[in-house]
Amino acid sequence: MDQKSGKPSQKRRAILQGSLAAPVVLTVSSASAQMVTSHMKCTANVRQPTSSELPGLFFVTEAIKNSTADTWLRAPVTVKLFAKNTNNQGWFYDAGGTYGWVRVDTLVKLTDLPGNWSEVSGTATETRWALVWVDSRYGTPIGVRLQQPAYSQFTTESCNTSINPTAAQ
Amino acid sequence: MTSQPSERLPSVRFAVVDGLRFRFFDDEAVVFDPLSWDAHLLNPAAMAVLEFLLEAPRPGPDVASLLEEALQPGEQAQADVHARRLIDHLLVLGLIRAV
Repeated sequence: MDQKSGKPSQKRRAILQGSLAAPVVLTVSSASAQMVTSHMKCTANVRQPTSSELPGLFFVTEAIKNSTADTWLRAPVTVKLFAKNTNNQGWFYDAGGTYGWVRVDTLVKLTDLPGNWSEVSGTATETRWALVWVDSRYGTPIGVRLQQPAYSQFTTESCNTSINPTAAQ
Repeated sequence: MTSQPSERLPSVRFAVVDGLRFRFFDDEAVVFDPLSWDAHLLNPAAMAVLEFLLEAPRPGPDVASLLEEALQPGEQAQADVHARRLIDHLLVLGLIRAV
């Protein structure tokens, strides 16, 4: 990609032909990865916000801002089932703003998905946990990760369990 | 055994999602996803594929062809396997989407 124009460089790719090692993608900086891989980090987050401290989705109150307990919070998020057809369904949460509905497992915006997706009528909403990474200096959320299916590397189940042992029961 | 998305949908094209930020270090690049707040380090081959998909949505076999040309001779025979794995990985990470 040309840094100035922002367009891919076919010339650069041509130069690289026949010289590259197998493709590798490494997630180098992920708040969720820190959360999942650090047992101590998880167990340190024993303080849970009360419902009064989390009046809105990902909203951090003064009570949390002044807390020195951690920089991670959990917040319940309502998810809804959308479908393109009977064989293609997925759970979405409302990320607000320009993002709108976002698919929980892939974090792809509903508006970016091909086809016409619509809310499945008659299906009850469910609650998932969202892990919110908070800047402890200002109390502002700077990263959010949704509870994921077990096959995903973004799964938060183990961490949720370590935070809240009753979750495993 | 469950098939991977790229195996089930060989004719589906893949495109890079909107809003990604790129930072280049020689032929490698860090891709930051402001939606998930993840940053990913892509080696030259992975970045070449992402650039390829940035140009236009492409099907999996096209990605395999690109890798067959770009990879070292010892890796070229595995280009199709690498392409499938990479596409599946990029889908899971949310860096590309099926169109």
